[in-house]
Amino acid sequence: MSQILKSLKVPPNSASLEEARTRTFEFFRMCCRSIPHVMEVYNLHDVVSPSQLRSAAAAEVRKNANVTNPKVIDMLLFKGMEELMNIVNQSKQRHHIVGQYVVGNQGLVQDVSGKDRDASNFLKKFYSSNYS
Amino acid sequence: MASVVRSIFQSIKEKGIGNFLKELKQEGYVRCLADGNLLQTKIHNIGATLVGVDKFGNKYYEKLGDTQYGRHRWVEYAQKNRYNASQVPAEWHGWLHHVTDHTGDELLLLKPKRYGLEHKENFSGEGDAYIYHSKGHTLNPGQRDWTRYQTWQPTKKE
Amino acid sequence: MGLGLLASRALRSSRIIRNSTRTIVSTPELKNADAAAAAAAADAPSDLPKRNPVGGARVHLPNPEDVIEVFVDGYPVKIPKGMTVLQACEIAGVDIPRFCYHSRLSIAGNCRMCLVEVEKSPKPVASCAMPALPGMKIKTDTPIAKKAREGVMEFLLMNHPLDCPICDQGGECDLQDQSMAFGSDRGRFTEMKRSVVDKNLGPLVKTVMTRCIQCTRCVRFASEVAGVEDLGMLGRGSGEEIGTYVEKLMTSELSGNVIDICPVGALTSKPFAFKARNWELKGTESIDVTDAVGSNIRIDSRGPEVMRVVPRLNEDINEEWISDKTRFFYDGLKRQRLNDPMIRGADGRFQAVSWRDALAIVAEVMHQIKPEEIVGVAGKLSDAESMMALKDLLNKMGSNNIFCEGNGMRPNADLRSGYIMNTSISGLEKADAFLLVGTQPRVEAAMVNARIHKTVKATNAKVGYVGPAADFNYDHEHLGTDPQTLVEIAKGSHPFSSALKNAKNPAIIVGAGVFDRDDKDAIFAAVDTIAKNNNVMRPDWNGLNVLLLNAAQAAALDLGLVPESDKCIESAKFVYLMGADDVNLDKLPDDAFVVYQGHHGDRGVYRANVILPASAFTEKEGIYENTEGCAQITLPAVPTVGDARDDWKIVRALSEVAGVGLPYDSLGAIRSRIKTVAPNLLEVDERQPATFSTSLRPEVSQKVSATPFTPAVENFYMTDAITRASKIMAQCSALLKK
Repeated sequence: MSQILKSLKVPPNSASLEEARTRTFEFFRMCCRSIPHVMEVYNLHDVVSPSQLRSAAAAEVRKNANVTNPKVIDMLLFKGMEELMNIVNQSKQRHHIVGQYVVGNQGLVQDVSGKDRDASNFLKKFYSSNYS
Repeated sequence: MASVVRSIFQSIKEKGIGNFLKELKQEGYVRCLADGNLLQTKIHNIGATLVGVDKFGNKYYEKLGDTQYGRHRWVEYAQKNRYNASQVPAEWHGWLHHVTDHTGDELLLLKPKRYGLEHKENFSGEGDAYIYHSKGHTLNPGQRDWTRYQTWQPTKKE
Repeated sequence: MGLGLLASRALRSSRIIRNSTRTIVSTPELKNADAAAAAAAADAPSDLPKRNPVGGARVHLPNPEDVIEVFVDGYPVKIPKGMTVLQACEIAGVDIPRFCYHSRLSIAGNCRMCLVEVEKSPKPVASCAMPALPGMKIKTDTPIAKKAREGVMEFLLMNHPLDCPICDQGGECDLQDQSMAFGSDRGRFTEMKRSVVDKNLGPLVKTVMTRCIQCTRCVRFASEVAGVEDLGMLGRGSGEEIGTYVEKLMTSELSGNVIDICPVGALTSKPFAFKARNWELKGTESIDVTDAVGSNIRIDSRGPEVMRVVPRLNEDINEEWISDKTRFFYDGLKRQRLNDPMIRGADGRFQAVSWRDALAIVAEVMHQIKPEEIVGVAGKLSDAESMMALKDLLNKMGSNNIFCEGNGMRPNADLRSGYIMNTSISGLEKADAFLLVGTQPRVEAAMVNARIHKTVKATNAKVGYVGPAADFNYDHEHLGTDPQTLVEIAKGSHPFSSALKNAKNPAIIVGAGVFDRDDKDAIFAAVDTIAKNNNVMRPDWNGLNVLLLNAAQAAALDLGLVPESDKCIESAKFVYLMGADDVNLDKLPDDAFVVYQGHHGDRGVYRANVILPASAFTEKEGIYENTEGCAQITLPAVPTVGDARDDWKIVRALSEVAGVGLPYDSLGAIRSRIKTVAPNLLEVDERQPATFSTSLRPEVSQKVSATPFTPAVENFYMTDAITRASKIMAQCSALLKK
């Protein structure tokens, strides 16, 4: 039995883009499945909803949508998996999750209205913070 | 044994059957049927001397003579259904564990007035309300306010 | 964004202005003195390695006959006659340990730490008190000198408590450092230590008198620099202690400096006690804005908090002292702060809103109002950049009614010499007669007062004073209380005119409180006449000075912040207060819309309709021009609080929301705009003297009134929004102002 297992080595890299794609989806699903547990252990119910966390995870994946090299995708998946493990194993603390995935990079004040779309760069920065 | 039975009858006569049964329950004799530890303590109590009662109502007994050395001091907890060793306050701890021969009542006289927290039993595993959260923890209700500046309050009018 | 990044940004943007490094001394001959010292050291024997003077000490050789040569550890050094052995050693590059010696105080020679060996002298000599003689062979590194220091250190430590771990001086203590360097590695002391009762010197200086080593620096400072004979030495021998003779507080506006000069932890800062350790602090070199002197300070911060303020050396402005207000007002930066934009609702209550909403409302109101009814007022703490932006914004809106509080409604901004200190602060030392007109330098500008005190002490210069009865810490003649006295002096009928006439370098100082008087032009005309009659303005000496009150005044006048009409407040419908708290708004119509942009909830906010939170001077980079016309830059030491923004950014954002976008969106760009208006503001750290003298001033037909002068500053400790919010300053004014 062990002989057979040894010979049946899983390829270290995705053979094709197609395989990398399916792996990516699997990874995303894994993230989604872990969300209820994450919400529980980090006590996130009062700050975020599961769907928001899901879209945060999706945004993290989409950030690298332009990558086409399967090797690179594998590497990114590895890093994503490492991050997921860290989160699920509570290697992080609540403020890490809140800072990285709930508040995100936008800061607490998120502009969704599109009111100052024609504002200058200066004004946009001015609204977000004194330093930028 | 006969003296025990005699004293029971005497107290029934004094208090009436209703009061006797109530006291029986309060003193934990009813619990004894289900709780072997308590029953053992109760049996042990027979003929022992009551050394003192602390502020929680725990009773401290001592029996010298034919008891095995090291088992001659013990406590009967005030709470009959949920008791543990952390219910013994600090002043009695020393006496109970043979650290000192001074009883808790004697040691209380030596306690400085300014210092010392009130004794609190250990509530571990007794529900969320008793979980300790450190100062900075999200769930600590008395979180410290880290704001280093004081804001102007608009409600204050000149 | 971290503080480190912030600091690096600040450094980067300041580099735009001047590429050369900031020098402490700008006078050219002192700069060249470096070269002179180097030349003196250059002809050292070739077998000895070259040494540099300690701390960049400079030697100035006035005439070659007075130069003598001494040998320090074998190095020949050329020094002027009259220098002490210690100074000679410093020039030779040998740092002599000392406690009682301080270069700005008289020589006491009682700590004995500076003992060196001099050839042909039977005993080691105290170098601080021994004048260097020609051909003297000084040895600082011999066993005798070392042993002498070790012995002195042992005696000093005999009665010094071993409480360094709980001492606030720990880490910046001279005794600590020098005992590490020169002390013995073991003690043989077994007896009891002496202890001394602590003295109460007031709310600013904490005393732990057991730690005192009797160097008497504080005693000499109090009598020589601060000009108060409060401190003294009591008892003799081991019973010797520093005290105030009778139980009393130290009532000097410079008392905080004894904290800096105390070499041990005997005198420490009371508000700073046990708050932080000096190695935890980040120092930011900045400028003080609480008065118009622009003292150079270092803001020590830990995280988001300003922990203390200490002076920075600047020979031209504050030497190495700062006033108590500068040193201790910093706790005001943490209290009464505005942190959110707020709008006053219909019920009169303020409500926090977003920046977007607040700016939109201000822009909307601004457009509904006729341009000439828009008024802008710059506060006394405003930096040049934000005043420039505000003026540009108002001009774009069509209004020209903008002024800076303290300058009065009819300021004279045409002649720069008419509002700056033409003599310069360090130049006052050359004066030999002073005429103070309506100014009390002691409360208006404590550092200028320290210079006058120094001059009076050194040269017995005569001081004449016209104004309300005031407290001076040097001899002065009170000439009168109203401007009529000036007319008499101008005519030459007053006894003081002869003193002015006989003086070689007379200096006239007019207080900025005069700006608010109706007969201001007449007063200045009278002063001009006095100046003309007494030869005050010569090509080599310009003794006609105006002493300003606030940090923003000089820059505001340079930028031309002059209102179009002096009745603009009465007819205003829209007032933009940029940190202006002391402007009189009683005559403002009730339906006027007031925008307050500032960092403290002070007097200005109570009339405001919209509050825009801005950053304080410790949180932003800005140019401030001091009263002598020297532009200096503040650097951000701590981040802004809450949702506040830098002043010029708010004005810039408002301009865009109002649809009249200002063409700059960085500090560099706004400074190039300033360059077209007042290029002298960009010559940072260098005094820019006025080019034209006041003799060009037009004739005045106005007559001086008989109204007496009024004090311009009622309470030294509370003059602006920050100091009024400070608890320490409130304590001081309660205890020290009786």
